Amino acid sequence: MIRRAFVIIAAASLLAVALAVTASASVPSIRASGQIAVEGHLAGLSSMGGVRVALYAEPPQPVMNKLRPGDHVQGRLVGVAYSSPTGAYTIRISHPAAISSSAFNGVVNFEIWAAGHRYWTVFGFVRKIVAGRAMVPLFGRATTAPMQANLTMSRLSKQDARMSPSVLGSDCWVLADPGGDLGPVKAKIEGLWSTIKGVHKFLSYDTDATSSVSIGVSIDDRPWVSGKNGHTSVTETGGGQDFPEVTGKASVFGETKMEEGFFKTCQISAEFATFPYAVDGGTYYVKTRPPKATHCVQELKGAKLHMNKTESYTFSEGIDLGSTFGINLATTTGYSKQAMVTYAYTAKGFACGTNGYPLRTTARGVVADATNRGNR
Amino acid sequence: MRRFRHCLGGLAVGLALLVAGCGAHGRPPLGNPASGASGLQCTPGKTLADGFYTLQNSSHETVTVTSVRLIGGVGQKMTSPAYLVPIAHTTLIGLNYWPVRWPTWKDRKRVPATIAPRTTTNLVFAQTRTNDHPKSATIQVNYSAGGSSYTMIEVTRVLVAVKC
Repeated sequence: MIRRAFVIIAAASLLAVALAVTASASVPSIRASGQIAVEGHLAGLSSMGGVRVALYAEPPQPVMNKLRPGDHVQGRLVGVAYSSPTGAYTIRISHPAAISSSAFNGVVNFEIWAAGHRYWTVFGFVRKIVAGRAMVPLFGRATTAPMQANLTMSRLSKQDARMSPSVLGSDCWVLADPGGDLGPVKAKIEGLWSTIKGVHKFLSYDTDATSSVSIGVSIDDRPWVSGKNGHTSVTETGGGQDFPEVTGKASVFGETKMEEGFFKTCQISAEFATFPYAVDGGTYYVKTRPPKATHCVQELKGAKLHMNKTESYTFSEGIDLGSTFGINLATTTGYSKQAMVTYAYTAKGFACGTNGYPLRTTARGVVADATNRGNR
Repeated sequence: MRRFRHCLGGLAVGLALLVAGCGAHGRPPLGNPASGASGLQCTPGKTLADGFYTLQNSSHETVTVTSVRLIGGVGQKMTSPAYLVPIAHTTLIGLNYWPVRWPTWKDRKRVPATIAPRTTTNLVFAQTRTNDHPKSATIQVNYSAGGSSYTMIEVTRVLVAVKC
């Protein structure tokens, strides 16, 4: 089924940290029908006109989070457009209810599907609903301008093209393929470690902070990174997820984990796109061996090391689907606002960075170590 | 992170010439303080050795550290000369007891002192808490290399507190 590796879309799964949110956020009203939601151009195919470009709203995050292999879920059609002879397209909102019903904490994940003339592409982005009606990006300037998405189409294989007519018109989403080619993949991100019993570690985030996980893809030495550097060119990427506060966690060996699942989506062809269905960051700890940490600083009893971080770190090898796709993936993550990691030394010890001293740009992570050997 | 660079004797010339004519383009020899990894080291005590900072000379020229100041902290005072201490086994003195008992302490150099090219050294001085409600401080390091002088201010802050 997978004859060649290709698409990774919607690569940034954005974790909305809404500390004050007590789930069940009210569903805000959405833009009026007829307003432009997405516009852009198609590229990569010779005949530009008549390509169907459809905008879907993904199910709300609580639904997405629970998906497991074998589950099916339906995306909701927001609007459809057909490209002009020059490849331009404009998708207007035809079904506002599809947006409002897909919002969770005001965050809506969108997918653009474009298919025609034996070409196709898919791309995901996210919007947050503010002030009752407006949709703005999660990051950057709070503009209500339509999403600009310039999409580069990929050619379907002959077999795919034969299949496509029957599926192009279907608005189904088949997530979590029962064949289980991929299944959930876990990446270890953001570790807090101590080899000293009694050292307390805290991971906390500001209210409204967001975190992201992006998937970089390299195929045939060509970098395929979602977003503007990717094969499908758009100005931003993302998907949203509520991200619970994690603070006051303490463990001897602890590592927060984020979980991402990669599943088949629709249906356009025998080939398929994948995207992370969920990212659960910092929600639980697992027992794990601390990473090698060689750059140490003495810490006295009662000391605290506060690390403000705009980036969290991947100590595992990231997500490696090489055996499946023949490609390598790498994960990075960042916070829109600062997250703070605190190590409280209830005993004398050392703070050891994995590849640099703590609080240096080169320090990727910190292990609270009983000795200055730093887990060497 | 704030960083300043100026040419020796550069007061008589314009800013553009100041920057362009220094002959020290690009990355400062001691680099830029951690821009994305700010934070705070807090340690309880009264007078402690502040050996939390490193000075990494990533250039091919010898750096001369001319002065070190503790800035921006209320109730924090530098109470000893600043020293450059060799780093052994990639371990820093950190916020530690004063006077210092450390294997490489005997090899310290009192500022003003030099840092050889491609060398990292541990900056150490005594930091004293002067009241019960202090605020964190950071360091300003003035140094010269290759005929230019530089000022570097660390973003990471250090606090000697009654209790952290």
